[in-house]
Amino acid sequence: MVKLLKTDIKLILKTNKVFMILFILGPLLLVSFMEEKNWSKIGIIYFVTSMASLVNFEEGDRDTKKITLSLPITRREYVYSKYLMPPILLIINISIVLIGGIIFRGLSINKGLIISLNEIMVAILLSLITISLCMPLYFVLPSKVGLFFSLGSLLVINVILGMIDGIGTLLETSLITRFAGVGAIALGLFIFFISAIISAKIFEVNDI
Amino acid sequence: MRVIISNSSSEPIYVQVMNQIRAAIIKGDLDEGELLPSIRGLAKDLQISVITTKRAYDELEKEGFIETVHGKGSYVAIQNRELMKEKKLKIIEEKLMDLVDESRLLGFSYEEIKEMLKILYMEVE
Amino acid sequence: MLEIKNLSKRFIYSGFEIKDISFSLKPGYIMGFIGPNGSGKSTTIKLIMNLLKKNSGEIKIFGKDHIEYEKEIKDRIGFVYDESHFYESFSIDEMKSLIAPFYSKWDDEVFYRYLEDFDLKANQVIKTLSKGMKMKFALAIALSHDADLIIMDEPTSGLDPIFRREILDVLYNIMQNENKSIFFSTHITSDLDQIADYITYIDKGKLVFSKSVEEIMDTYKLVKGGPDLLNDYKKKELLGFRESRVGFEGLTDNIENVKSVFGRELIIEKPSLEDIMYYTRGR
Repeated sequence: MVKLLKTDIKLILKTNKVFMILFILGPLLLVSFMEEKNWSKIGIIYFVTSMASLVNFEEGDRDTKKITLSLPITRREYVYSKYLMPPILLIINISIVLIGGIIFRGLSINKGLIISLNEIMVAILLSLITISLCMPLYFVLPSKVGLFFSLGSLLVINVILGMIDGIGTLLETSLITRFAGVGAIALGLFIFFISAIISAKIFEVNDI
Repeated sequence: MRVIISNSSSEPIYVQVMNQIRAAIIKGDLDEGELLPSIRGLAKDLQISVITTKRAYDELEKEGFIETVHGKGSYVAIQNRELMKEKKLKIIEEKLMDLVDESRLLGFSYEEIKEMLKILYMEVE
Repeated sequence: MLEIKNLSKRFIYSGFEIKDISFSLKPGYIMGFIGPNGSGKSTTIKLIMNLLKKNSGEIKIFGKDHIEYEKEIKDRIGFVYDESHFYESFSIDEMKSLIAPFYSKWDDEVFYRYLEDFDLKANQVIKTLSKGMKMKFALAIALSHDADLIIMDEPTSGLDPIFRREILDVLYNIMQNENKSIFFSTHITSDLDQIADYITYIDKGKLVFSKSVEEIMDTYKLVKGGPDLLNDYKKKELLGFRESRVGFEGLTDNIENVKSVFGRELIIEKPSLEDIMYYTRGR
């Protein structure tokens, strides 16, 4: 699993330099412009992470998958290694946002971090949920079609959530802030694991 | 040892291999106790299947010309030049018997047969 | 080493199916897997490698079920597929560094030696390699982790005859080790006429035969004769035939019978695998 992850990372580093640049600079720059609306900060994190997670996939290329799956790995390991990537991207993403905040706002006790812990928690929750919903789609239709649909649904979800202004106010209510925190992470991870298990089950009976 | 396969010959390949090895043994090109190439090595040299070389070796072993020691290889078996000579003698003897019977029947004398044999031998040369 | 029993697979959308395929390969031998295009060769290999899911049947490799012990089995399998499925923008070395960590017995020394033998340089980008060189690279990878079973799916299609000969040489060298086996599917049967020990012939998803080359040569004979030797009754005695104004050619699996039917003027020859495939098609 870890070997596969390393391979995927090497692959992205080698073939997707554009992505890498966008992934790092994007949140960094965006953060510098967004201060007030809570929603945007969360959005940056979970939007970027979920989109980035799909770079993980070999463009629905059936043929390179032929090689990968002929190597001594199991289908399950293949799926789980794909699921290992998003959490890593999440951590990097959040770190970039935090660093960006420090760079552009300076570190001072009054201002605090650009993003509160609660907001981070919500961002993680939303990222994990959106990814958990879209990854299995890729494994159900493992080809360009599958990638297209997962990408598509991710965009749709992001757009819908983005359009709901109410979310911003919702986050202000005590309900959500109480909910946020460990609860968010736990729920997110739970859904994430279930999604991984479902994807593994799907992928185990698939034809390549 | 010289083994050459002809793909256009109608003789099965394993027979060709057998014939040439057998001839080499009889002529003395291969000594008694000499180690033959492994079936795999020979298959590679001749660019044929190991099943074919194995069949050739198995048949030669049945005929008594070679011996296979498991794990070591195949060797030219001993004592077969004597056997061969005996076998050859027997074949000639049988043919000569037929000749003698026929000539008696047809009324040819020994001198006449001797002359004919001389001429034929020289022709074949 | 490789045991296939009653393997079946049906594709829902195309309706194509593999039915009840059974054959086995012992260590130390090369098996040629032949059949016309679309007969199910690639499908069978994909089923063996678990790239496609079988509907029924048993596949055992090294004596173990190929799915239950998938990982440890694949560690000992070297595979070569027809198209190059490597990342084109990578160099040979980079591609190798992606693949090598997965194999427990990977040997860099062996790999670089093969590169040298094949005249490939480690820093060459895969995109710049010709088809033949890509195939040799794939072979180098397949041979560098002490694989006991080498599976090749149409590795020589699209390669010129010289390359094909060179690859056969490599295969002969591997076969000097009597613990390894090679499973080689191709529709270029002339490659197999010499090197194969066993031939498994598949057509329209069904097994036609799986025999040793000696058995095949004993069984099948190519017969030829003048047009006067052939008539409608005699045609039935042949598995297949081709007639022209100046003669005919046919295949039989019962030479004694054919000899007595056609008489002494019949010319009997060894058939090539292509002859066998050609004259038995559609049966």
